Amino acid sequence: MEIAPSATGFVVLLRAPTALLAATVGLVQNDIKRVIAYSTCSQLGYMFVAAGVGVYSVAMFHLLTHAFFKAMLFLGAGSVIHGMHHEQDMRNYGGLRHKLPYTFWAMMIGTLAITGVGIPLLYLGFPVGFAGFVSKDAIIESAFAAGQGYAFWLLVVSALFTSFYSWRLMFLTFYGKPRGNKHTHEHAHESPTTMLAPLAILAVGAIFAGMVFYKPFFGNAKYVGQYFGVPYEAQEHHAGEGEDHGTEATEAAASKPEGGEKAKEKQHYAFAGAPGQGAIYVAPENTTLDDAHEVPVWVKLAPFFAMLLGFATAWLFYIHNPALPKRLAANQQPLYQFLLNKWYFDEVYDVVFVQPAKAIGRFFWKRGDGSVIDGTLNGIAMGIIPFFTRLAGRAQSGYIFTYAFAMVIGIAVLVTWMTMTGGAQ
Amino acid sequence: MDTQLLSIITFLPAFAALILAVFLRGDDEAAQRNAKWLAMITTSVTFIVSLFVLFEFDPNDTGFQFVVEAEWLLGLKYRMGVDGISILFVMLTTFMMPLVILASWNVTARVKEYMIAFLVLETLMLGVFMALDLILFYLFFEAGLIPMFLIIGIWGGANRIYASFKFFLYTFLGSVLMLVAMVAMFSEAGTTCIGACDISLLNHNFASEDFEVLGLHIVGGMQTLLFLAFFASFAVKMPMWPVHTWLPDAHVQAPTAGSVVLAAILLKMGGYGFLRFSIPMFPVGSDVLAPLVLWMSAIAIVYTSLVALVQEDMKKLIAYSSVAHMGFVTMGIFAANQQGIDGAIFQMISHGFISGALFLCVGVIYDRMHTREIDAYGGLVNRMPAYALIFMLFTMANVGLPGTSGFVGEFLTLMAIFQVDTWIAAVATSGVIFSAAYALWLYRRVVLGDLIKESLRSITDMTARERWTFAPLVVMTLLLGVYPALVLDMIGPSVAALVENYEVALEAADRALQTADASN
Amino acid sequence: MISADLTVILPEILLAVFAMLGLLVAVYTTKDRLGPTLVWLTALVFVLLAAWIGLMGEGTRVAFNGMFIEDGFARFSKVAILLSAAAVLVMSEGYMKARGLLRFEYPVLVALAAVGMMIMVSAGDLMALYMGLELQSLALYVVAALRRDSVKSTEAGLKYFVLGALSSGLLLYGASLVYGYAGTTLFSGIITVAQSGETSVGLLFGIVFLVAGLAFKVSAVPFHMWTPDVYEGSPTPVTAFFATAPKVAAMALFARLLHDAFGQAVGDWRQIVALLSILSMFLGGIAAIGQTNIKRLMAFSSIAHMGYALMGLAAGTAFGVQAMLVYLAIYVTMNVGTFAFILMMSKDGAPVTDISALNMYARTNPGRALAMLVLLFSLAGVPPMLGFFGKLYVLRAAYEADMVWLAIAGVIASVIGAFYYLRIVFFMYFGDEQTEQLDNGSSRILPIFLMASAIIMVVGIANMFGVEAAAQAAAGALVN
Repeated sequence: MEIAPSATGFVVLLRAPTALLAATVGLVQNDIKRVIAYSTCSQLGYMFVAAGVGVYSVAMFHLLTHAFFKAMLFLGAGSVIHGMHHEQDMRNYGGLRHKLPYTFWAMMIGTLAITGVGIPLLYLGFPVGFAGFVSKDAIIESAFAAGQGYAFWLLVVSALFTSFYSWRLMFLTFYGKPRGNKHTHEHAHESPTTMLAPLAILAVGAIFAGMVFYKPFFGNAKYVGQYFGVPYEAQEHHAGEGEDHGTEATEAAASKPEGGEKAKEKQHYAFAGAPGQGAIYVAPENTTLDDAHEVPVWVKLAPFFAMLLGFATAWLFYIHNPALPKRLAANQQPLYQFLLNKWYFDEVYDVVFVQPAKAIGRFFWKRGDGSVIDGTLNGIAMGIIPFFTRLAGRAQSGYIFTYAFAMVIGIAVLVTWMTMTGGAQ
Repeated sequence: MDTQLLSIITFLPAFAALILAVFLRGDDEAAQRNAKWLAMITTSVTFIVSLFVLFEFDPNDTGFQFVVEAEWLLGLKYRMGVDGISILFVMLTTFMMPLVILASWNVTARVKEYMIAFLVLETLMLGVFMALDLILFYLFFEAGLIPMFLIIGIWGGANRIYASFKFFLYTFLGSVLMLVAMVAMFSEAGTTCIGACDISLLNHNFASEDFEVLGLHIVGGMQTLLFLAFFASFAVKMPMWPVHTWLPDAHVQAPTAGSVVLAAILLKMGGYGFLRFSIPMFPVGSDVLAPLVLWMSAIAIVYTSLVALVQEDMKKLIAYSSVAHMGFVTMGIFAANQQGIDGAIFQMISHGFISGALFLCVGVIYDRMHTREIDAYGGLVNRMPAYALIFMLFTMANVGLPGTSGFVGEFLTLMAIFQVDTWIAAVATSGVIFSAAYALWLYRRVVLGDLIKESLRSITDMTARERWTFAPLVVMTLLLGVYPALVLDMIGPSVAALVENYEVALEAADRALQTADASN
Repeated sequence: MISADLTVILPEILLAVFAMLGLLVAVYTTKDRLGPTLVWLTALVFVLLAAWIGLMGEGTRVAFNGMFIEDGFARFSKVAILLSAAAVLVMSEGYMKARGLLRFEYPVLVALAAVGMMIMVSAGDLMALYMGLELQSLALYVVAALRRDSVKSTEAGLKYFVLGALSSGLLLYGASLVYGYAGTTLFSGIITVAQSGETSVGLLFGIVFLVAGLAFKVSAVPFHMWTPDVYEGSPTPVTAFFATAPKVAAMALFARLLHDAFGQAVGDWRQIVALLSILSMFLGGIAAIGQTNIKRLMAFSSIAHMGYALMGLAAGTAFGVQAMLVYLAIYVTMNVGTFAFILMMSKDGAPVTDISALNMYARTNPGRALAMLVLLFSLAGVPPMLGFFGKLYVLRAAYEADMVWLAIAGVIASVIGAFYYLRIVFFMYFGDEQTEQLDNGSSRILPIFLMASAIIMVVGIANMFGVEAAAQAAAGALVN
């Protein structure tokens, strides 16, 4: 994609809204698995935006961390469903943290991971926080660094929504008063160890995967290059952070910083090599990876605040004032329905693609095959030819004089024909 | 013994049919059983003998092998042989016939005649693929119409009369034009020999200068006219849009085994014909008309896939799907490069297995419920899990899922056509989407869901015989899907030779045209 | 010398003498009771004569100052005529006896018709041509009306007679024109006058009228209109006879006339024959589709087949004549078998000619139905039957003579025509059930002919038993 800027631009153009759109749908879904499913869709939007802006390793990074916490969320949800005897509607949950403690803690870790809880601006060689914090923020920073303001803001808002619906899920499921079938709630039980053991393993990953894998995926060109086997080169120095960078690569081999003025000055690296050398190809002009580290502070803090805001709102809606959601929904009925029905995508697809395809198919079948093709052939075979047959039959009148007359006409025709084509003088 | 193998393979089924006709009397249980077993044994033996041919076959020899020759009438010669292109079609035929007989085990009406018809049909089909003389090819090609006409007309469905007449006359009309072209070729070249002879039609350069006919300027001259005549015949056989309408009727009305033979083998004769005649013998004509054929193929893929989407009869749906797949084949052939022709042949072989299996699937439930209406089914997975699995596998193979043989053929042909014309490639690729749409939708309506219809409550899963019928097809589909080299290695050198000769011939014609222009 | 001439014409003389002797003996002895014996005897004589003629040797001999030519072409045609006449005679014996038609005149008339036919194909002169033609025609007119108590039969005979008289008139007129402009009636004389590019208008008119007269006999369109009615009205064995031997004779005469007398002016008459051919092929195909009477259907079928034979003739080359002869040989064999089947069609002893009576015939009589299927597909020209090879021959001849359009028209007509043959197959194999099936029939001869014909259709494709070579020699003898 490096050599197709319009392709990358197209990807970012569509995928940033994907992140937002899916998040909006997740806001109002009632089925626990649906929320997580739309969350997945949203996170995938993030990954593609990362690929679109040129930081492929970061996209893979988010894929990796996402695997951990999303798997955990799904398995946790499965555990809840199992415990609640196949009930999936969150409106019938409530207060389950007492009944399903391990599941509760597992899902808590997963939620912390996905919403991106961590300590911003603290850098111990790697950022400190849950897995989602590290990778999601990396993407948001990269989007800003690549100059894609539109994508950046969409992703930040999506982070807010992500936080909101993730905490909504937790609050609805594990907090509050039990709603729904009393019998099911009484018999709600924790899942067997076979279901809980994987959750434990995934929890470890959800907590540590971000920090452990930070360097190889989002460190700098050198670390990423080493991890992915991509050639890289050192760049010449430049002053300060966040200023314009030098773009030429100079030495072929990595070299030490030439005794710089500032001790904190970092050595910049850039990718080199041709497509095919190494696991990913990054064009030498692509410095987004580096630039992402040089973004302003407010950019680095933005996702964190979004997360907090989402958490607060969720707490407000589902713990503090549980009647609020219903009132808001009743108040904003069209918007609510729009989101609940997933932006009516299925219906739109049906009208735009499915029905026309079927209509065209029917048209081709009945009119194309039926009237035109078969019509022509059947018309000839069962229309025109029998017409001539009947004509011939009528000519065979049975009267001798008709026959004799035909013979005479025949002679006349033959004579004419012969004089026209023969060699008469 | 070695050199007569091909004649043995070809005529063994006819010989068995003769024995059945002359010596088997009566229509009682015992006679029926004997007829079935004799047919089964004959087709299996034919298959085993053809395996000898397969193992002794040398893929790297691009000429004809196992050639058999004898004098005949009118200056013609009885000559049979196989090369890389035809050997696999022969194998496909001998492989499918025992399965077809096995699938017909439940026929009770006039079993003896039924088996005779199929055995004669097998002989004629094998003859088509192995004939090395022009008129001999025509003879086998046309004669195959007779048993098929009878099979559809006698053992077919409610509207079988219309379907069988339509099938016969449609195909016959296309073929007689080919006959005139063959007579023309015989006169021009002085020989009807296709291969393994001193002067072969493959080496003959038919006139390709433009000329005028009835005020129409024909580019490519005689070759174009000959190509068109052959095209008329093969296009109907394949079938290509827009002369495809006989196929849905024929399929729907034919008995299950008849549909399997029709889809798996008879349709391939058209593609084989293009490869054996149109491309090597009329290169200039092929080149001139290739864009037309390619667009017709692309339209066929999209058009028939859309029509398949709205079908209510399962067999008609699969029939239209066959037309779409044959669109890929013609596309690959007329892309005229190694990948295209490799892909086309692979697709033909794979489609033989897959569509044969799909028709057998329909046959399984038709045997039980005696209806092919999709609305009459639903939720079969609840009572027929084995059937659901098999049906799923072949539905996926039909769509072209990687891992099944359906993918390889489609992929190769699409790659090939992309190198020639990207627009056609784009249109054709969209056809893949449609095929997924109708195939999966069919599967969902018939197999998945809840079993609510009363009539289906006591439906039984597949019997051992039915499972054994499917087993070889499953094996072949998966085997070729993961190891396509089995086929591609076999046909590679012959196809390479074909493509090379084609390009050489085109260059020579170009040069001739240029010198002609220069001298004017 | 007269004795030399008589030696040449010996077979015809012997046959004529036999016919007259037979007539005398029968009149003065037991009359109709001699009928069956006479039939068998006549058939035997035919076969013997055919063997004699076939083995008579090579070369061309001319008698009566060129009026009678005995060459390879004549020999081939005579063998075909005699053998088919013998076959039909034998087939007709049982049928006619059962219906009380077997008068002693029947074999005598057939023998006399055969004499006429033999003279026709050996004619070297317009007078000889006319003599042979009239002898044959008059005998056939009578035979057509053999069933004296049937209106249809009488009508058939009468129509044949009247229209035949008209055609004879046209033919004579043409002959007189040719004589006027050529100065002689001998073919060998006419050919020197009728050179390509030098033929006068009168001569050309003469050719046209001659062709018209002969076209009547061959039942080529538009002179075919007698054929359906006459075929339908005549007793079936007579129809069988009409469809075989006289057709061969007429076509052979056609070829003889056009090549021996006008062989240098091929370009003049080719187009006319091609026109006749196309019209016949198409009309024979189209008009037969609606027929339900199998005899009428066979009439149109023979019109179509004659169209194809004319295609070979229209080529105007030696190969064209060879193709025509091969086609005729195959055609005659097919028709013998088909009419054997038709003769067997009866219900409760009464003959049946409606096609729908054949419904599900395959169920009661699978062997015969299969043989009929083979013959029907052969008539349609579908491979692998021998009928296809006949078509292949004439197509090749047409193409090599640069008449591609004729060839294409021919194949299209054959597709149209295939339909009604298929319909009979349809009736036999997948028609409706009906309670009353056709009788099995007590004849043993007819099934033999049916099966033999069907087997030849299939086995013949491997090897045409020397017919090809004989036809080639015959063509070579005619077109030099």
